[in-house]
Amino acid sequence: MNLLSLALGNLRHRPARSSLTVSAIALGIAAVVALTTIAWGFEASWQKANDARGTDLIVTRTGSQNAMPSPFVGAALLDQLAHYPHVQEVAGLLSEMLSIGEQSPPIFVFGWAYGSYLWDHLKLLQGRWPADRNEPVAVLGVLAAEMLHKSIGDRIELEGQTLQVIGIFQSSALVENGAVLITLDRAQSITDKPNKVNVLNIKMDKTATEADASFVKEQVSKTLPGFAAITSGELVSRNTVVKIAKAMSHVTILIATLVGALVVFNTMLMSINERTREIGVLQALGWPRSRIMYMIICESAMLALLGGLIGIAVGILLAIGLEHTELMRGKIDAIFSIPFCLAVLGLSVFLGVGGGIYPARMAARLSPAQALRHE
Amino acid sequence: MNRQVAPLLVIALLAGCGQSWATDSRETPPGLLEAVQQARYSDGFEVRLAITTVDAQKVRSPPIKIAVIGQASAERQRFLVRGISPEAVRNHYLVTAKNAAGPINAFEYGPDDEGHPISVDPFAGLFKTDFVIWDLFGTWWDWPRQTAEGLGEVNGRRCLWVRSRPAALLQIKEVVSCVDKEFALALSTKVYDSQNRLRRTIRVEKLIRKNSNAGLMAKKITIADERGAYSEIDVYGGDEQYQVESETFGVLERLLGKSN
Amino acid sequence: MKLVPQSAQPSPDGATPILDIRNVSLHFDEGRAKAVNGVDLRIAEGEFVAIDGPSGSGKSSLLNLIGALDVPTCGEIYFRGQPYSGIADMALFRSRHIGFVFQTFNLIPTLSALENVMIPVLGHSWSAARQRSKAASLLSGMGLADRLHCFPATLSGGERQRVAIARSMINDPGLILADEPTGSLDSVNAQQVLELLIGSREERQITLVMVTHDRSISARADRVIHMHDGRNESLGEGG
Ligand SMILES: Nc1ncnc2c1ncn2[C@@H]1O[C@H](COP(=O)(O)OP(=O)(O)OP(=O)(O)O)[C@@H](O)[C@H]1O
Ligand SMILES: [Mg+2]
Repeated sequence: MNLLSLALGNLRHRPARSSLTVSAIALGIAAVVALTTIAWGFEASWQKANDARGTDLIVTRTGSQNAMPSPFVGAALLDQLAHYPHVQEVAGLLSEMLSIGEQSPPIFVFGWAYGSYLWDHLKLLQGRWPADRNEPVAVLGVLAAEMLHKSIGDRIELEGQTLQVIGIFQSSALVENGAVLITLDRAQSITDKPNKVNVLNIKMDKTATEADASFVKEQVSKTLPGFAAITSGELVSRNTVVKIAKAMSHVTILIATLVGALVVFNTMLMSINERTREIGVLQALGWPRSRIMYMIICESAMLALLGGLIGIAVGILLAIGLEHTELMRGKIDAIFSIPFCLAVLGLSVFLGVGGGIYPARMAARLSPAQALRHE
Repeated sequence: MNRQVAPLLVIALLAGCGQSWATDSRETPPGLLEAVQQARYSDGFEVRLAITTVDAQKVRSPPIKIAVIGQASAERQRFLVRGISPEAVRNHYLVTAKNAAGPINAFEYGPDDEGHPISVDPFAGLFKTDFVIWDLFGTWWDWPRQTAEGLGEVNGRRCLWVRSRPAALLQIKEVVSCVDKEFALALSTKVYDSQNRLRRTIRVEKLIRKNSNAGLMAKKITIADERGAYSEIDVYGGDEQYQVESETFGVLERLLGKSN
Repeated sequence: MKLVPQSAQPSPDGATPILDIRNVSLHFDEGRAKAVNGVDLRIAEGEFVAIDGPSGSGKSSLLNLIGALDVPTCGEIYFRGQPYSGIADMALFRSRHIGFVFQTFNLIPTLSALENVMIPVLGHSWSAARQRSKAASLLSGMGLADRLHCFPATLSGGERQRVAIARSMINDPGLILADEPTGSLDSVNAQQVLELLIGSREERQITLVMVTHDRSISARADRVIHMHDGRNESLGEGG
């Protein structure tokens, strides 16, 4: 016998209360896990998209707060950027969230400069690529094809224009798999944004260093008022949705921790109140106060740990479920890392210990004679 | 029927210069009027809207998507509305313009009859929706009688109620709007006809931050009629700095040139 | 812990008594309730002392003071010459030298009989195996060899009190304090438990202080202390 088995026995002795407490903690932790993975996943899937494309720098309008920066006329800028040292290629890109047909939720539509490097990382699974910059055709990411129930030869309607599906591709980035891809010229005509782009993507050549990238960043901020060159990571973390998602996950963590600690606090206080006499007996039998404290903290930490484990499992299922809902498909890339799960477990143990400290101190401070008189 | 999509665009999307108020005029209706007028001006904008009609029995119609391109200054306002989907409205156009003191001219034409546009009533709903052309112009902000009616709240935002009345008796007798003073944005607009009946209430339901500056614009608007039916207008795309080409309003200018 | 005799008062026969209680009082409610009121008492090693007296006369309170569960309002208690007031760690002191048997058994419901017996030595440096084998042999000695893994709820009253007696002896205490150990038992069980308690303490030469209302029990004690209004009056030799 040791303290842990004793603590476990105490918890098992009150199954209803212990399981209620565990459920409350599990719920909070599940919310933390689901929201946090979604927030990170959203960011990660964007990041991946940019990384997969081989984009080193992104030029956008400054002050853009939204995911899709406001459009601007790209041609003059493109020329200037292309002349900076180590810049291998500059490609314009236009993207929008559009609903295709009446029923389906909005999905990403990307317009990529025809023939640019952006297309290179995609793997064509079926069909072919657009033959020229104006061909009225679209290629679909595997996930998008599945979601829209479209295959090669089918037609899709985008903002009143009918396009033929000529290819289905796969990408290492989930966002792209869930997107409809058309040429930049097509996108400009469909969305009535002639010559405009959301962003210019810069690919640096192989010999380029961090310093070269910084140089381009500097030049852009000096010579192109109203524009900024940033890395894909910077763009993504400036995204309002990512920011909101992260803020929400932080608030959830805070609330879940507080509520979890309070639940543990309440449970342990009740339990100690019921076990006053038992604690008196342990003291009479020579248990030091420290060991009694330790036992109570063990109990609360075990409650929280179990709640945390269940919560992580439920949270992961929740996030996977959300990831597969029609609305979210292809937009997030839930990531579950071992360190993240360990951190969440750490958080639950922290809230358990936090909630258990005061009750444990109360128990340890009981006078043995008084505790023994307790009915 | 609830009618009007146009007001939102103008009211909400052109709210570009909301910051231009002098601090001391903030509380006074005259400063407010100027700011609201200012906020409507644009060298060119485009918004794409999805309009869903919900009838009194809560049955939702399939959405109608339209694009609105506009240009507005103190002297002149003009708009081009293009039907996107469904098929029935695709490439149907409505063009409309108004000079400072002049009347509203509006014409409609389909994809195949560019040569035969017909003149339409600016008080009618567009493409059989509740989107009323007249509302697009915000004419009531030019009316001579403007009174502040106290503070109010629309969807949790504080605003000032302003009552606007025309000099002469018109088809519309009175417009009451609640204006967010910080962004010079009407959050709610009630339109009364000559029989003093409330024709429609236009409400901004959702706001988003604009890309180009610190202002806000409407993301979602409802236009409700007095019988409980309403239209939901979702701004799903657009360009705050749309490049208006000389041909953009070519048809409109040719029509106006002919009629003059 | 070193038990260095300080102001040890040798008893008349010259040996240091296991307990030397000098003018000890325990007051509650700022002196309004005098549970123990100036008790003077010396108990020799190996002695069996019975305490009786009417309800509320301070028997349990005195036992709590002896067991270092409560601190006297005034007076001093010496254990083998060592004053309680000089002992830094009372819990450690109890776990080394004192065994308790309560009227209501006070077993921990979530632990088996064997585990209950092991409680007092949990913090000792003994190996787990030693704790177990000692607890098991004590329980066998109490006739509970086949009950080691039963939980208190499945044991009869007599069996529970036998587990409690085994528990009071696992730390090889010099002194066992028993507060009406047979008070909750029928006469058959009471008799059996009493025999086991008295028998094993004789075998191990443990000093026993027992509160009891039962004259037949006090008759078997070496000495009976009669408590009245917080004071003691020795009735001399029992038997
Ligand atoms: N914590 C306390 N606070 C106040 N009064 C107390 C406290 N503990 C004991 N007393 C009082 O001290 C007196 C002695 O109590 P004690 O429990 O020692 O009596 P007892 O002789 O053991 O009686 P019984 O035979 O009923 O067990 C009683 O009047 C009791 O009410
Ligand atoms: Mg008593």
